[in-house]
Order: sequence, then C-alpha cells, then structure tokens
Amino acid sequence: MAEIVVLGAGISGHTAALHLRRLLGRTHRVTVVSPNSKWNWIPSNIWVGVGRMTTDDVVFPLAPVYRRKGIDFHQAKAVAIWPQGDADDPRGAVDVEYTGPDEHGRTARLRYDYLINATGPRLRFEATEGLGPDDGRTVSVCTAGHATQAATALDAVIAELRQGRKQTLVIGTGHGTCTCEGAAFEYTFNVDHELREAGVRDLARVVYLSNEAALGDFGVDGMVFEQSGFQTTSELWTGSLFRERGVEAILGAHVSRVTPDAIEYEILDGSTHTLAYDFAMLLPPFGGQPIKAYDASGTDITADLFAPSGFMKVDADYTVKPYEEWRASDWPSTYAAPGYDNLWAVGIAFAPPHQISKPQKTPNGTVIAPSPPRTGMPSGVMGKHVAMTIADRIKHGPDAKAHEASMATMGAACVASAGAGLTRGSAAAMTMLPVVPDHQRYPTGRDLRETRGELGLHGHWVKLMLHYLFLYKARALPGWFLIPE
Amino acid sequence: MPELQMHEPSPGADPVVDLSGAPLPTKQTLNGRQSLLTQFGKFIAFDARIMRMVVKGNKAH
Repeated sequence: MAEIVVLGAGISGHTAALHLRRLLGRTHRVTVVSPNSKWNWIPSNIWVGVGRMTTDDVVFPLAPVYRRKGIDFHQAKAVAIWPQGDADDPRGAVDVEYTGPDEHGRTARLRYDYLINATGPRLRFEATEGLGPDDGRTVSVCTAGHATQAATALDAVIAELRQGRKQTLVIGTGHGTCTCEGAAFEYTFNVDHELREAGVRDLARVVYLSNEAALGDFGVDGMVFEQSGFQTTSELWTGSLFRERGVEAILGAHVSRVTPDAIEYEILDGSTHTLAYDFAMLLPPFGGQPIKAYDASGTDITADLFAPSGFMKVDADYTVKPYEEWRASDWPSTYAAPGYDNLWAVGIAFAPPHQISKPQKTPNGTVIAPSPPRTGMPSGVMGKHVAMTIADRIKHGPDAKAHEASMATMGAACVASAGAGLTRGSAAAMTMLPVVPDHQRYPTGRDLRETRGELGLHGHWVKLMLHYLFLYKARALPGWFLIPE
Repeated sequence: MPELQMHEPSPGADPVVDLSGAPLPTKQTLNGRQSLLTQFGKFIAFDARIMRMVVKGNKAH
C-alpha cells in the first residue's frame, strides 16, 4: 500500500487528490492536509466582493466529499517536511499542526511515499504598511471572508454616494511585486457596474492602481491579438475598456504605505505620490507557506528545497539571467523537486524560474515586477498531471515517465465579468496559449489563433458556466472527471 | 514601450494613463455585445476554443 499525502486543498491540491483516488484502488491511502475546512472557487470571490453572491455560493465543506471518496482529511497546516525521513523511519514525513476547533494546536508526523505540495499562497499583507483587512485599512477579495468584508465596505461607500458625497474608489495591487492583476481588473469593472446600477457612478472616481508597466500586461507580458485582419495589443484593448467606463489608471506603481486617508505610492520614474481614497481593494503580494525542511539527521535544508520566496524549487531552470535571455524552456514541466522522485510542488506552491513580464526598478531602487500568475486552469492541470505520474509509478514501477504540463505549452482563460444577469451582464474574456510566451515558437510569443480578447455578454455566460461546472467538479459529483481542468 | 503613456492631466494631479489614444466602440459594436444571437455564437466559439486549448496543451507533451 502506498501513502500519498497532498498538502493543500485548493484548485491544484484538491484536483490532484480526486484524480489520485480515481486512478488508484482503495488499497492505497490518499491523505489531504489543509488548514481550511472548506473548498473555495476563488474566481467567484469577485462576485461576493460586490454582494452579488454570498460566501455559501462559493465554498463547500471538504470533509463530506473526502469521506464519500475515501480520502483521509486532516484539517491542519504543514510546518515541516522530512524528505529523506528521520532517525526512526527512512520514509519521507511531514509535520503538521492541526487547525480545526477540536484539535487546534495538536501536532503529528505523517509518513508518505509520495508528497504533493499544493499549499497555495501566503497573503503577505505585512509587506506594505496599512495593507489588508485585518491589521490594515484596505479590503481584499483573496478569500471568501475577505470578499464579504469588501462587499460591506462597498455598500457603505455607495450609501455615501447616495447622500451626494463624492467618493474615490481605488482598486489594484498593494505592492510592486503582486500577482493576479486580472482579479483586480475584474473587480474594478464589477465595482463600476454596481455604481452604475446604484445610479451614483457620476459621483464616484474609480482608479485602477497597478504594478503593471502597461495596461493589459496582466503579469504575462501582455498579449497580441488578431482582430479583423489586424494585430492589436491587450494594452489597447484594455485601454478601450477603461476609457469607455471612465476608469482612471495609474501604472507601474509600488504602494509603500496606506494611511487612514491616503495611499502613498511610487511609480517607475521614481516620483512619489499620495492618493486620497474612501474605499481601497488592494491585493497583497504572495509568498510561499512557511514550511521548514530537514534531512534525516535533523539538519535544516529549507534553503535547498525552497526559494527565498518560500515557494518550492522544482524542475525549472533557476539560473539568474537577463530578461532578454529568458526562455519558455526555463519553466518546469514535471514539478518534481530536484533530487527527489517522490516530491512535487504544484499550483502557486512551485517557485517560478523568473517573472513573465519584464521586471523594472525605479531610480530609487524600488523593484516593480509583477509576479507570474499560476492560478486556475494551469493549477488544476498541474495537479492532475502529477497525480497521473504518481499513479503510473505505483502501478508500473518507479521508472514510469513523468507526465508533463508546462505553462509554456498550456493555455489559460481569464474571464473578467463586468456586470450581472443573463441578459444584462458583460465580460472581458481572454484566452492565451501558451501562458508563458514562447518567442522561439511564435513570432508574437503566443498562438494567435487561440490568443484572443473579446468583450460581451457571452463572457459573462462563460464565467457563470465555469462557476457551476467547477463547483460540480470539485464536489466530485457523478462524471466530475469528464470536466477538463 | 507602452502605447498608452502616463501623464499628469494638471499640475499636481495624480499621474494617470492618457487613454485618449484608446479606441472607443461604435454603437454597432456596443449593440453586438448585447445581442443574444451574436453572443450565443461567440459563447459556443469561446467554449470550443477552451476545449481546443486543453487538447493542444495535452498534445504538446
């Protein structure tokens, strides 16, 4: 019997666990360790953040699903990995600390034959003074709970506007190294829609404040689209949407501090500015979970296993080189940790070899470099492919070839809804293939047939469809595995 | 080099992107974005593209 432990129950980890259970007989044990008791379809947090959905619409408890599927579930967080085992047992092990109400604080050491690290991001609000909903002054849509708080704050601002008092709403990234600009972009247009629905848009100033050097960059170095026989860019496409909706954009910004009244930021030319605000939804930078690593003798090998960012090193080319020398082939394909054939990191947990967008520095030395997004569709695909690798090795032996799923070959869809309702909604819908541009293979870096940007009602239908499909899939209801990642 | 540059609309104002170079949609385009028939066709095409990307992504390996 093989013991497979999956750390994390987000899109990547949950997908991996379900596929492992599908591919392997019940003689093998699949264990999921997650500090959260519920699964969250994060893309729909945007709708929670404007009050169009409730938390219950975007989360469900994991335990009943895992009980039904025969997957062991520990509501706990991983604190240390022993990839070479310890003095008592040569098998790998992971130390966990329970977070559920009944066992809070209890620790345990779980043995594994195969380990998948899919721990997701640590939300580093502390990177910017005054950032965040708990100890800061801004709201967030990173979790369903945060999004609920954001909706309440937005309601308060709309109430002020209804009283005829002008308000400034700032939406964007709270640090120069943030990722997920697409989420901030989407929230901006949902807020714009809500303000219009409330009949108060004319009194509101909506500002998109982002670390992107250009509109439409989205942390993926922008896109080139082919439309009506011409090539255009995601920058112009996005700019058109901003102009049409009357949203102001401040780019190349690193937020250095958020005070009760103002957001202090520096832009790429080194100038510093202060922006007064009444409502601010600013995303935090991400880091890896604080997990230590030890060899069998107990020596700390954290720096061998993890990058300084806290993300786990995998089969990427981490050689430091200039932007001009970055290649699609630098990106990992199997997600195996170097030196271990039974340890992988997928989704946000793996350390990217470098950014996708060109990193920049202000004359003052402040780094403004959007981090590469690796959420959603690619995360699910990585989780599935690692699950298939493990299943093959269990069934056919340790030499079974690893399944590959590089972000330099797989595509992604980003649907930013901007409104609600089956007949009155709208959305900016983008697809790109590959996620990481490959300039050796495609002149524009991506396949022009699949890389598209479209606006319209159909994007909203797509987003709604994905919401219901992926919740169905994640609940592991009949035929779930037929829905592609 | 960005196509849409930052500028200060007035002295002391926040530096914002000058969007005057970004194209605005025509009335026909706006109507098309809400036309149920047109959008249904685009919905099918978008879904087909996602499925094609899934297949291409898998074939690449």
